[in-house]
Amino acid sequence: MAAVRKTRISDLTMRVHPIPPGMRVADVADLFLADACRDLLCLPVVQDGQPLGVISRYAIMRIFLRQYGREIFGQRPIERFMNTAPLMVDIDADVEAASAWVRQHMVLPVTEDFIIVEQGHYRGMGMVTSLLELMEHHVALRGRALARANASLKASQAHLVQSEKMASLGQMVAGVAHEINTPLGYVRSNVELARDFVSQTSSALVASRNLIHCLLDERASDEEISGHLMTAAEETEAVSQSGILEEVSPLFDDTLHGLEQISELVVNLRNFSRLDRARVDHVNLNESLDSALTIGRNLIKHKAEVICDYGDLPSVECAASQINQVFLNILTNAAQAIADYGRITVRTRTLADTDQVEVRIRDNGCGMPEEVRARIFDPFFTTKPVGQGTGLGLSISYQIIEQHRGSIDVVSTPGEGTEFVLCLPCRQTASAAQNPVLAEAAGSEA
Amino acid sequence: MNAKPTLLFVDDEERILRTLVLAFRVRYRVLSATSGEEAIALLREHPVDVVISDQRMPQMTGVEVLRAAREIAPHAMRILLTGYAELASIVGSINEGEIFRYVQKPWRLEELRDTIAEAVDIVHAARDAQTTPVVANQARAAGIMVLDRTPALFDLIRQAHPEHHVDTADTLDEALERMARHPPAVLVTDLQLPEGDISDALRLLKAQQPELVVVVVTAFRDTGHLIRLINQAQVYRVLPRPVSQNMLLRSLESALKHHDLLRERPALLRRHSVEAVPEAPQHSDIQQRVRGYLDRLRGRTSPA
Ligand SMILES: Nc1ncnc2c1ncn2[C@@H]1O[C@H](COP(=O)(O)OP(=O)(O)O)[C@@H](O)[C@H]1O
Ligand SMILES: [Mg+2]
Repeated sequence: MAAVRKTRISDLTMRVHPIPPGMRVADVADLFLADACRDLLCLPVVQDGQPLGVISRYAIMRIFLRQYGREIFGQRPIERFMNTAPLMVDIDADVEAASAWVRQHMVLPVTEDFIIVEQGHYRGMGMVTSLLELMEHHVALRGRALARANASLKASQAHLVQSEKMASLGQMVAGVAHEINTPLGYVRSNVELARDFVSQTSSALVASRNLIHCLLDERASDEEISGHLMTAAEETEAVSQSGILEEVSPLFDDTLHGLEQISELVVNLRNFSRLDRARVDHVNLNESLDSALTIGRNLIKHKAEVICDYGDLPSVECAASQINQVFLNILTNAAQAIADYGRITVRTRTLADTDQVEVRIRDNGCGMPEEVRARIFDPFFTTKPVGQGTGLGLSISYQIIEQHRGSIDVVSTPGEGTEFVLCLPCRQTASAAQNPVLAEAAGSEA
Repeated sequence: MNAKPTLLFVDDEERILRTLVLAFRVRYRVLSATSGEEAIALLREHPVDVVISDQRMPQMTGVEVLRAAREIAPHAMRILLTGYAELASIVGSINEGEIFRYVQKPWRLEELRDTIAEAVDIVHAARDAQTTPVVANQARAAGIMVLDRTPALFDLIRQAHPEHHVDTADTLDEALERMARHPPAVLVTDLQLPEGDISDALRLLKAQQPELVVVVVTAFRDTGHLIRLINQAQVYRVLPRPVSQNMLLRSLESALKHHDLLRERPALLRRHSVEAVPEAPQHSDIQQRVRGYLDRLRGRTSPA
């Protein structure tokens, strides 16, 4: 326990430097990434000592997740987006009354802290969690209600992570839908054309049959025969004029090719999400890489030749769909880093003696300077234009690898390229069950 | 005119081009390109009546190709044929591509044939009309109707266009009432009004009054909705809320010009004809209101 027990609201006051209402959204977003603001859910907006509102990290994230969000709203003053009715607590308020009031008025999921004021003037920020903790000291009896509030705080954090997942899922769905609808487009069109062709050729066939019958019929007159001959000649000529006979075979080749493509995608999609398998799995990472390459093909194929140099790998114990997600993120970044057409090299091997597997993904794209490299794992850090970058890919990847007790490293030279080096242990230790991802997976399996 | 009309298909998948060429070569002269650059080169060399482009291509997107086509071959009709409806491509196709139709893959051959035939008809009608003299532009300040609950939008527009009659209304009924008295050139409207979503009303209005230029201001909604606004209401611009002043004023400027153009050359109106909409019975109440308005308008113009 802390040596000095906190007992009053003033003990909770954090001296957060307030921001002016005219500050631009993009600058506020940068502030949130700064170390000093790491633990803050929101920033106070203050003018002449008067609190005007708060802007939460969550609100900024929602703005930037929208299409064109950064472009349209980035330069706007923050006052247009802030919550103008924030929670406010007087510095001299009674702790119990204040926390009851905060509990009553806080919006779930909790995305904002409260403002501490003294006679209407801004004094600092207080965290809802600290207030609730403080309350816990004060009134042990209310323990149950507090536990509930705490649980909802945890839920709100899970909510944030979920929206990040949705953002990258959305991008993937766009790619896959396009990849499937393109072959579906020509397959459907070809089948419709083939149907038209069949009806044209069949009328020529009928005319020819009539002619043959007529020729074999002893009673047929010359006029009858020449009539049928005319029709049959016209109909068959029309068919050969149309070019159908030459076209029909490549048409079917294309159709079969399209169906091949679609089924390959579907198989890989299933491997990719591993919905039909337990979440924690023994996986050959070479196969995972192949799945990720197929899923990302739409993006990669125009940008790079992919060279795979796979070693013989033992199976790795991991949450397969998450590891696939990591590979896809890194491969997508590699393709996006290449301006015209380049090369992506994927290498795997077993590290001797350590019982670890190593995956190296290298591109010869633009590379990055040290300032960029230092920030790539920060959430929302992106150098890409709107629509291409969310800045979430690598921060999520980092989390996933860390939860698997692996490591992720980057070597990059501007103008030459970038290499990501991933290491994963083949076995998860017993204590890994405590890590949220694997534990959750194990739980849902039971 | 005995030459076949010319179509230009643009898609990075050659199999798509092969099937489209096969499907259309009997009736049309068909050009095809596997990239935006190639398409632009063809547009510069050949007269083209309809450009049909895929959206997602490596170097140049479909919206970029169609925007270029608007400049190189302004008379050609533009159609986007796309595998996945992304918000960005839909909004781009409206605001930058000014497209005629947004068609999704996989398409139905019958429907695509109809859409293309209609586009070709329109180009030819407009071309014939060009040889006839232009209707003298009657001097008349074209009005702007702002159908929106935030007064800021109205104030902004009124200040920017003192020379135009700028009117405002809170509800669809009120707007229809005023529009019957002063038929506007441009309607600036939200989709969400107190009485609900007015997309259906817009479609009906546009079907009956093609010279009305519609600028929609909206908090974005689902993509299917926006596609219907292109195909069935031919909205001229879609602006996301909160609205950027510059974007709004620029859009309004070109909407007014566009209206003048439509009035000078009535044959161009067909370029903005809308898809027939199956009547939706659940909205019959909105339909009635719009019909009432149209009747009043007719009563006003042709005393019968
Ligand atoms: N292979 C790479 N080459 C160059 N820069 C990269 C590479 N991978 C990542 N980056 C940099 O890291 C940033 C963050 O990547 P990420 O978290 O995946 O977000 P996003 O791709 O959405 O921008 C990118 O915007 C880019 O600047
Ligand atoms: Mg990325």
